[in-house]
Amino acid sequence: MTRIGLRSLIRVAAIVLATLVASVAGVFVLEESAGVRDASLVFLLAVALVAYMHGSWAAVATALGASLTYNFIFLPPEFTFFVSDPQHLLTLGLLLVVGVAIGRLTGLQRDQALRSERREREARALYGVSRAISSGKQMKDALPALVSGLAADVRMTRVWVGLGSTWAQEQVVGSTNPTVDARAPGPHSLLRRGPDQGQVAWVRLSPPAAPAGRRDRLALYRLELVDGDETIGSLWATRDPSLALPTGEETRLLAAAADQIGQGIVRDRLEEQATELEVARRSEELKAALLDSVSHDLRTPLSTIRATAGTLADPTVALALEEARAMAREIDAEAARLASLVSGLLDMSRIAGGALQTSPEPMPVSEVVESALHRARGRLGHRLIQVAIPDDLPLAAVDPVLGNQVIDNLLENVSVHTPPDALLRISAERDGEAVRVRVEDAGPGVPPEAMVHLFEKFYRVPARPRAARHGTGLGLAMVKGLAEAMGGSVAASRSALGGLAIDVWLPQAAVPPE
Amino acid sequence: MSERRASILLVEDDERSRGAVLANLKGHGYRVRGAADGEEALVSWDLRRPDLILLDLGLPGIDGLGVLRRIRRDATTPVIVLSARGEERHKVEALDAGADDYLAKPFGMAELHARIRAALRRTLAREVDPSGAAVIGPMRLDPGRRVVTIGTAELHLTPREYELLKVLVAHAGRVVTRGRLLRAVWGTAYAEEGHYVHVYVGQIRRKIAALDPDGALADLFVAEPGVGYRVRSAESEAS
Repeated sequence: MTRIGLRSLIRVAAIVLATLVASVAGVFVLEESAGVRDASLVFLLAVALVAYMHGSWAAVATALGASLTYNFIFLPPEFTFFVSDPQHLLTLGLLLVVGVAIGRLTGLQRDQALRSERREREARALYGVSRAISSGKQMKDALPALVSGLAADVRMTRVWVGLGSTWAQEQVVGSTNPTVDARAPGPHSLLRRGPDQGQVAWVRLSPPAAPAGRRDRLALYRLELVDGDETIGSLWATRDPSLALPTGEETRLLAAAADQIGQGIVRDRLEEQATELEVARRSEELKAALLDSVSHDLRTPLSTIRATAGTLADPTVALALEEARAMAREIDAEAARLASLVSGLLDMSRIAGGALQTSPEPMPVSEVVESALHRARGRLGHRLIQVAIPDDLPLAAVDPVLGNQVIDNLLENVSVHTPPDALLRISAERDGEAVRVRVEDAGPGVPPEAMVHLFEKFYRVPARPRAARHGTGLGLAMVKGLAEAMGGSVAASRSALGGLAIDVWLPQAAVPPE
Repeated sequence: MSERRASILLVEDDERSRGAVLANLKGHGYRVRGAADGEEALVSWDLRRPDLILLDLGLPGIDGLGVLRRIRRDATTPVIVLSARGEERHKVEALDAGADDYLAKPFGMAELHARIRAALRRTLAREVDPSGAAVIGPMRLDPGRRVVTIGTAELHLTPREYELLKVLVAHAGRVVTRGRLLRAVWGTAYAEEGHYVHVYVGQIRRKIAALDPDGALADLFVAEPGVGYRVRSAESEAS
C-alpha cells in the first residue's frame, strides 16, 4: 500500500489547479475568440492528462473541479454555481460523468502500467543479484558489483555486507565504497520478518553501545543474513533521511538480496570446507605414495647388499676370487645408489621445508656447466656432448653448489634415461632478465601426457622398466626445487633433437663481469 | 713404489668405518694407525709423525679443525679432511686452516686412493721438468720466463690470468679455495669479489681450448662448487 505524504498531496493539488486554470484559459480563447459554442471538452483533455500523470484519484478530483469551474465561469448566470438553462445542466452532468469515467479508466491503466514497470524493475534487480551470485564466482568476489547495483535499485547511498555472529562483531566483506570506515554503526532500522515472509516491518533499534554524541546524518538500515536459524551477518544500507522509509518494492528487493547473499555465503563456506577436505585427502594420498616409493627405493639396494654380502660371508659357498670381487663391486654400486638416494631425500626435505640456504653469487653459466660435466663424465659414457654457451652471456646469480646440483641432476637424468650413444646438448642464452640454460637429448623423449608430471617428486614415466630401476624419481623434482630456491624456474618440452629438453631460467647477476 | 710404504693416520670416531678403511689401506701396503678422537689423534701425531693424515671433521672432544690447527703449528704434513656432503663452509674453513684436500663421505675406495696418492706425491716429488717448469699434459708453465705453452704454441694470458693459473698449477691436484686465489692474485682488498675467479677461470679455459683441439686439457680445471678450484696433476687421474 502506497502511503501518500502531505507533501505529494499538496503537489498533486497544485498540478490539478494549474491544469484547471490552463483549461479555463483554453475554453475562454475558444469560446470568446474562435466562436466555438461549447468548448467544455477541453476539460476532458485536462482530466486525461492528470490521470496519465497522477493516477485516477487526482483525475476524479480534476473532473469534479472542471465541472464546478465550467459551471462557475462559463455557464450563465456566470460567476454563480447556479445553472439557468436545463440544456446546460445536461452538458455539465455529461462533463462530470465522462470526466470521472475517463479519469478512472486512464488512471487505472496508468497504475497497472506502473505496477508492471515496478515488477519488471524488481525482477531485473533480483535477476542481477542472482546472476552475480550464480555466475560461479565466489560470493565475496561477486559482492562489490552486487551491492553497487542494489544501492542504485533501492535508492541507497551506500550498501555493504558484514559477516559475524553479532552485528557488533561483523567484518565488512563487500561494500559500494570500501574506503569508508563502516564500523560502529549507531541506531538503525532492522527489517523484521515473520515466518514465510508474512509480516515485514522496519523496527527502530538503538543499541546502548552506540557511540554517544554521534549524530547520524544518514538513515541506517540493516537486514540479517541467515543460515537456517543462525545469523551469519548483515546487509547494511544508508539512505538520505529526506527520503521516507524504503518502499514496499525496495524492501522486498532488499530482503530478496539479503536472502540470496546469505545463501551465497553459506555456499562459499561449504565449498571452502569441501576444498580443504579434498586437499587434506589428496595430501594424505600423496604422502602414502611417497612413503611407498621411498621405502621401496631404499629397500631394493639394501636387499641386494645384504644378499650379496651374505653370500660372500657364507663359508659353504665356494667362490672364485673374481666372482667375489664382482660381488663386492655390486655391493659398492648399490651402496653408492643408496647414498645418492639418501642425499637426494635430504636435499628434497630441505627444499620442501624451506630450510635450504642459498648464497647466490655472480657466475658464468659455462663454469657451472663445465664443473658438472666434469663430474658426470664417467656416467655419460661415450655420447657426443655439444656445449653452446656464448662468450658474452651475462653472469647468472647462482649458488655455486646448488647450481652445480641442478646441472648435475639434469645430466644424471640424461644418462639414466637415454641410450649411451644419444647426443646431449647443453646451451645457454639470455632471455629477458634471466639466463636460460637448456639441457636436451636425442633420446626417446617423454610422452606428452607425462610432460606435466616430470617435476613431481617420485614421478617416473610409465613403461620404462630400465629407468625405474636406476632413477630415483627425485632428480627433476630437485632441479625444480633448487632452481626455484635460487629465484629461477624450470620447464620441460620436446627437444628438436627428438628427446626431452629441460629449460632452467636463472636470474641474471647484477654485477658486470669486471 | 716408495709411497706404498708411507704411514697414514686415520682419525675417525666411527669404529666400523675406521676398521674398514684401515683394512683397505693396509691391504694397499700403507703403514696405518687409527685414532678415535682428537686427543688420541694428537698423541699419535706427537709419537709417530705419520706421512699423511686422514681427518674426520666431526670428532668428539677436540674437533677436526682443532686437530688440524695444532698439526699445522708443527708441520706441513698433508692432511685430507673427511666431511659430510653439503658442508661446504666447513670444507673451506678446513682448507683455509691448511688442509690439503677434502673428501665427502660416503666415498669410494678408488677415490680415496687417488687423493692419497696425489697428496703424498707432492711431498715426495714435484712435477717439474729439468728447467724448473711445471708440466701438465701438453701444457708447460715456465715460471722463470713467465711463459705458458701448449704443444708448440704460446698461450697468451693477461698478468692476472697468468698468476691465477700459476697458483693453481703450483698446487696441482689440490683444491685451492677461492679466498686463497683472490688473496694471491688480486690482494686482500678483493676478498668479497669471488666471481672474479669464476670469470677468469672461464677465460683461461676458453683460451686453452682454442689451442687444444683434441681436448687433452679439457678437464684441466676442476671446479669444486662452493669451495674453489683444482688443477689436475700431471699424472692424469680424473677421479
